Amino acid sequence: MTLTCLKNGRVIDPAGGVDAVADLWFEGERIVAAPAAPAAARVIDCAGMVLMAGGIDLHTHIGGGKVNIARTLLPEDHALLGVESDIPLRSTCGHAATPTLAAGYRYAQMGYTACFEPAMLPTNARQAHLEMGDTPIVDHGAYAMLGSDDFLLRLLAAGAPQAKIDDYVAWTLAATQAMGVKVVNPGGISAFKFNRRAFDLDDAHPHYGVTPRRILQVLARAVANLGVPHPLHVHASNLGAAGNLATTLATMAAVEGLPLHLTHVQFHSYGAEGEFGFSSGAAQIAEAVNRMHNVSIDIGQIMFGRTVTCSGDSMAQHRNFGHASPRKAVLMDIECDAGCGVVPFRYRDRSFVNALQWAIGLELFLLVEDPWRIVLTTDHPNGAPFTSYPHLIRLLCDKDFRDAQFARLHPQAQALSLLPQLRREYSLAEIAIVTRAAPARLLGLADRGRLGAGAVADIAVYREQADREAMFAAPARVFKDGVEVVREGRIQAAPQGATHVVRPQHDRAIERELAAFFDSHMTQAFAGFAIGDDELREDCNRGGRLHVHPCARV
Amino acid sequence: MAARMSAFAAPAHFVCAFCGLLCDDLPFPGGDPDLQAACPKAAEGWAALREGGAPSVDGVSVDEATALRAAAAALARARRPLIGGLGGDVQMMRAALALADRCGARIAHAGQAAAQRNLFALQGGGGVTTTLAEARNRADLVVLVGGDATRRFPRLLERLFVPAPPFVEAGRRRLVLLGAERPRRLPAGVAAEPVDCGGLDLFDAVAALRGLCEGRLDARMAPVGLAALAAEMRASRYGLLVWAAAEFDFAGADLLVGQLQQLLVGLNRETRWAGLPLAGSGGDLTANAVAAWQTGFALPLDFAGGEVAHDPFADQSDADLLLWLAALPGLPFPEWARGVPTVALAAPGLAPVGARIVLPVAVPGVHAGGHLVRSDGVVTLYAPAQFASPLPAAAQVLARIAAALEAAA
Ligand code: SF4
Ligand SMILES: [Zn+2]
Repeated sequence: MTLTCLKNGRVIDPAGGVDAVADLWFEGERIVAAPAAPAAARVIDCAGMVLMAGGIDLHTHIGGGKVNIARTLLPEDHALLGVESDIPLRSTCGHAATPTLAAGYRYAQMGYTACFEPAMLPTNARQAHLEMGDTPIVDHGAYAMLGSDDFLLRLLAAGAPQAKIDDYVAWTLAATQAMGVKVVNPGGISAFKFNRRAFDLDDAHPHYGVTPRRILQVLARAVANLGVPHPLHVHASNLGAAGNLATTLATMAAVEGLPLHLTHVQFHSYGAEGEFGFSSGAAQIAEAVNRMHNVSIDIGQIMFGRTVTCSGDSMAQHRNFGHASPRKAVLMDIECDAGCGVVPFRYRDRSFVNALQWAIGLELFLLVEDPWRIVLTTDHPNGAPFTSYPHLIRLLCDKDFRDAQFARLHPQAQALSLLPQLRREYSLAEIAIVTRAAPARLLGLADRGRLGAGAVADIAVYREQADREAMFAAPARVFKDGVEVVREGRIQAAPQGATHVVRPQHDRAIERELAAFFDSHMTQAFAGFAIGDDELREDCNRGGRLHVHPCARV
Repeated sequence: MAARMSAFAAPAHFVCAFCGLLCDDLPFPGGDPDLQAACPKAAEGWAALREGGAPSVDGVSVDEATALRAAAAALARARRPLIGGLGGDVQMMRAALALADRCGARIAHAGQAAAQRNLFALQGGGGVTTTLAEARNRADLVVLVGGDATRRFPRLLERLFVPAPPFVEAGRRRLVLLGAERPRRLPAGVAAEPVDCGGLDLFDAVAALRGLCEGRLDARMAPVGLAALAAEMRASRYGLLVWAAAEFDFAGADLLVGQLQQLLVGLNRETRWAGLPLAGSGGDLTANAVAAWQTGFALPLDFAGGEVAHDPFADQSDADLLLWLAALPGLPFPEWARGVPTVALAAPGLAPVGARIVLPVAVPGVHAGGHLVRSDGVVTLYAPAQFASPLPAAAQVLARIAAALEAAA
């Protein structure tokens, strides 16, 4: 194993409390302490460079049915955008509905080394894992989507005890090889199948009678009881609706102090004030996040331009059908699990609503005080493609740049935003937190997102530049498991990433009930449902590794 | 073909890959004389398979290494190779795309024309679809549209109507035929009611239904049967349009599917409706899904010049070599390709007549395990091997050809 020294770089490792010029050593795939007698080491001069752990995106739609519908729907999206490389790569292309090959290459080119698909439907889990297996270089994992599934809603309607729900959640995690649990518009996707068009936190489900509040509570409790490191990942009710801030605040309170991760919170921070009945609720949401230490968030920042929105929230996406640009959208009900909606969209800075959405996302970034509870995302591709992260980082780090962009917005949106008053500029250490250290901690990735001895040698080496967009767009070098995968923006190697999962124990008695449910409700055999380890490793992930993270079941 | 059982651990279940429904509720039919009764399509697929099979070059049996070298040499010489057929599993498709990329080849599925009817309709105006379980659990009104779908998907109505749906009151479910032939098989207790379209052809009948459902056409101006159907459709709580695009073998079929999709979009303004486009046979959805996730585009693709390009209308008949992949039965061999030198990776019994080089491969779900995408495009099933077989998976053979190409380069 070669010993490597990244010499004289500015090591920014917030997890280890380090921000100093130092030498960073790694051997094989692990970071090591500086050896006493460093013989035969490869030395790479990193003077003028900033060293961070590899980036971790904890919410990016990189694989699974709805993303593939989006790709198929939009051949016009797939302009040829070259991936620079010094080795033969597979041909690929794509802008917003990024194909797997392009996603892996481009994430690595930005210094990211792990990506998590947030909305894996259990019945579509095989496809999601196959797609992630075709996403080169980056490690990956997924959250199983529950909360509108008939099995859970039946359990709740029948008054099942929490222990049974815990078993069902644990079985789902194991059977679908998931890293966490996500709930999307709790119960609402199912309610939409019964033709409900809106579903608020305390509405009773038209068939099962249960409320979103109860669904949130039992799932948050199950995740906590099972010791799954990542809190329940919540896409709250009323996505995108004016005035939804009240629902979002109530959602935070509903879990009564249990860990909760609110995703793409920008889309859930809207007031209903002003001339257009649409206003920023960022200040109220940020105030609540600052106060409630059980809550973490990612933003789901929007960027102006063309993209495609793909969400499991079929109810909300159906409301958006009329906004499709180009004018075509797809809606789906899915297999006792959930649904999806795919709506191509163009965010315009001259649109009052879009301009305010942009400002609301940035207000949230700047108003939430604890960077360890906030993660940088665009909810790729819903707010914007992930390739806009370097631009977003510059917006956070550079007030003058931000003000210049703000000046181009729809004037009424400008009048309603407090963005110009927010003087905060993110430091590089804070960027390192919201793009790697915090997501690693929120996911329970003990040896990633940090640069201490023993950590995996996933390392991004950025050339320090005043223009943070240029700095983060093209790292000088990127190492994945100690292998140099990118140099000066060009791919050097394309190893297979690992799959990350959790697997809390469950009482197998639940499987008898599931088998009966499969007979009465499903159209596939229970016997063939679970994805085995060999299938996952050899077939889905092309021989890549499988990391099972420990759960501290209570 | 009779199955040879060995010491191989019996798999938990059998997934039938002979049409896109991927039934996994039947026992493994190896040697079963009653298969015709269970499903004629499965029986037909099963009957097409042969046992054993050796690699051959120019009709002479050779060892696999010789056939692989010959296949690699033919690919290396070809100026405009086409990888066609594409009946197989996800791993086969992954390997086929990698090889196409490596060779600058074109790649297309044998059932492209039917697949494109649904695809163009989707790409033109979107739509609303559902999956098999939602369809079965919820539909109170099932409208089977056009042609003879149960010829291609024999167990369709069994899968849709049995067992009783949890969300529909007993006796409230109906099946109507809109320009569709009488189903060849009906589950007990299910009646199929033809709609009287007043002599309108399918295009006009669907257009009239759209007009009626969207309130643009006065019911008094439309055939009585269609006006009545439109009223029932609007009153339905969860309705289903079912069609098999492969049956729409006429000009403008994609426009008809587009009309069906827009009919669904319109109905969803007030109630819930969804489409169940039947597809997936011969691995067409599997092949298109893998192509889309890796490159962004559905098939066909062209990797000439080190880039990926997608021209859905490209003429492929200038191919000077055809690499034909047929791990599943039922793929139509293109007429124009009769004279084109062909390398066939085919299950025993499925190699096209006159193929210059033949390499036998496993059938997914029979001789080897494989992932396949079901008709609804959502459920990907793993079809386990049913017995130990010496036949290699198509993906393995493709990888060996790629290795032989590397070695020769
Ligand atoms: S309907 Fe299709 S999948 Fe089902 S048994 Fe017949 S051929 Fe096989
Ligand atoms: Zn999302």
